[in-house]
Amino acid sequence: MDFSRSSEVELKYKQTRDFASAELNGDVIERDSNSVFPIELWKRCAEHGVLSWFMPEAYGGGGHSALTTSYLLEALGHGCCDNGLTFALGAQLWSVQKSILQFGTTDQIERYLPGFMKGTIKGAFAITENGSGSDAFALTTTAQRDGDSYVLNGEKCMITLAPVADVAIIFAVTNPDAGQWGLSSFLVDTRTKGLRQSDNIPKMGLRTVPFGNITLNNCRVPVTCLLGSEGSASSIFNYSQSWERSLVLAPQLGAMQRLIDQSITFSKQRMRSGQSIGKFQSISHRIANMRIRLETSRLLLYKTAWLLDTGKQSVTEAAIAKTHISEAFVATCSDAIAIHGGSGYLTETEVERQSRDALGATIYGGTVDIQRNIISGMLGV
Amino acid sequence: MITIDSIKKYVTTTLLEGHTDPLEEDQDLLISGVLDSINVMKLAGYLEQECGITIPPEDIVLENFSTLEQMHRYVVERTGMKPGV
Ligand SMILES: Cc1cc2nc3c(=O)[nH]c(=O)nc-3n(C[C@H](O)[C@H](O)[C@H](O)COP(=O)(O)OP(=O)(O)OC[C@H]3O[C@@H](n4cnc5c(N)ncnc54)[C@H](O)[C@@H]3O)c2cc1C
Repeated sequence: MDFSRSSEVELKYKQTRDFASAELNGDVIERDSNSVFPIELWKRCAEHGVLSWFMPEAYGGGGHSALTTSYLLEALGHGCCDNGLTFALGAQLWSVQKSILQFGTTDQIERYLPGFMKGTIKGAFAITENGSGSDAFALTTTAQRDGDSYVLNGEKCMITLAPVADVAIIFAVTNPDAGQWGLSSFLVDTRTKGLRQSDNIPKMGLRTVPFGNITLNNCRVPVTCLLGSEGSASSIFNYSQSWERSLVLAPQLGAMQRLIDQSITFSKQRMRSGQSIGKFQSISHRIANMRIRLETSRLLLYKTAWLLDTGKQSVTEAAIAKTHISEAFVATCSDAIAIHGGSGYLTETEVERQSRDALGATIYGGTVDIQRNIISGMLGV
Repeated sequence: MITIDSIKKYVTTTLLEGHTDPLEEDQDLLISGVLDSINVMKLAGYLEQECGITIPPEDIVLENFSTLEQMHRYVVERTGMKPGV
């Protein structure tokens, strides 16, 4: 394993962090409290290269490895205080763009990838339904073959970017007798007749990313919309989840670094009982624990990214990384609030928002319980 | 060289520890649910390691993984090996 970085990548890290802190944070408190999606900032991130770093050079991307890309996403999260924005960028990159790249036809790749990279179109990954979440393959949306088309019916829930997506990967049953092997996925243009996108559904954190439902009512799509072969959706899901689980939390490493920096500054300035609170062991040990969590999270993420780059199976490592980093972020936010005392509870300090944002990561992409099921299952338990 | 028997042995002793019914070579293991999602991933990992190949995710479909026979045929094709017994 080699996590060393070239001087160009280090420079890109600094440029990305500086770009993010200078351009992406302006009105983040208002955006969060009004659940506003910063579409112009999404485009700025695309212009900066966030949605292209990992894409192959042949398609106009940067051709970076997963390891380098995660390091740059960490820089984005270090500079950008809007976790909703960084989460949504990662969700599109790893679950939508990567799936199309791996399973799409040349036509599908050429149709969608340039727009994603430029930030002119947005994509959603839609598997969850009211009746199926952790048991994702129990979904009931159907896609019935009818000549040269499929007709889709059903409803997808809690889908990141659903209200604003231009295209969605929709998972549906094509062969009801084959269980998970009878599922297929479709690349559906959201302007297609019979598809309806809900308005944004309010949520606890990550409020700057729109989130909602997609309803399909006799939505007819040509067979060319099939992503991969018929019956391959469970493989597409497992594959894309390995990538998403591993790498979507990369910006959280930067966010954890930000919280550590903020907590150190505060603990040195805040005077109580005639000394800075950093002199109290209760505070300094919290900061030490935050640092330990960041270090272990980094190592897990870099290892998983490295494994993905080698093409080796990383099911267990992805589940471990997802579980550890999401829980580390939650614990780090709690520590940051405790260090800040009452002011940590105030909106203006911006720590409470991180804490609300952090909890989402223990749920999306498969809850931490499901990740533990995967880890123990891979151990034969 | 990987054989149908070695795949069968891995499936019965490692994946389905304690499985007593004999597995037929042409028996469906996927739709019937004999192998769950995690077992399929473990099996793919095992075949990758044993045969020195990388199995792309698009190949993990019924046509290649439904029966012991199909799995064996798939790895034989991928590695260019002579079929073992
Ligand atoms: C911010 C956010 C973004 C999301 N984005 C998307 C998206 O883009 N696309 C998409 O398709 N979905 C998305 N989701 C949905 C997400 O994937 C599901 O919420 C998640 O998989 C859990 O499913 P559920 O909500 O139905 O909970 P349930 O499955 O009902 O689980 C409820 C509780 O039971 C536990 N549980 C359930 N089954 C088991 C089990 N077998 N073993 C142990 N514990 C179990 C769970 O861990 C949880 O604690 C998003 C969710 C959030 C919060």
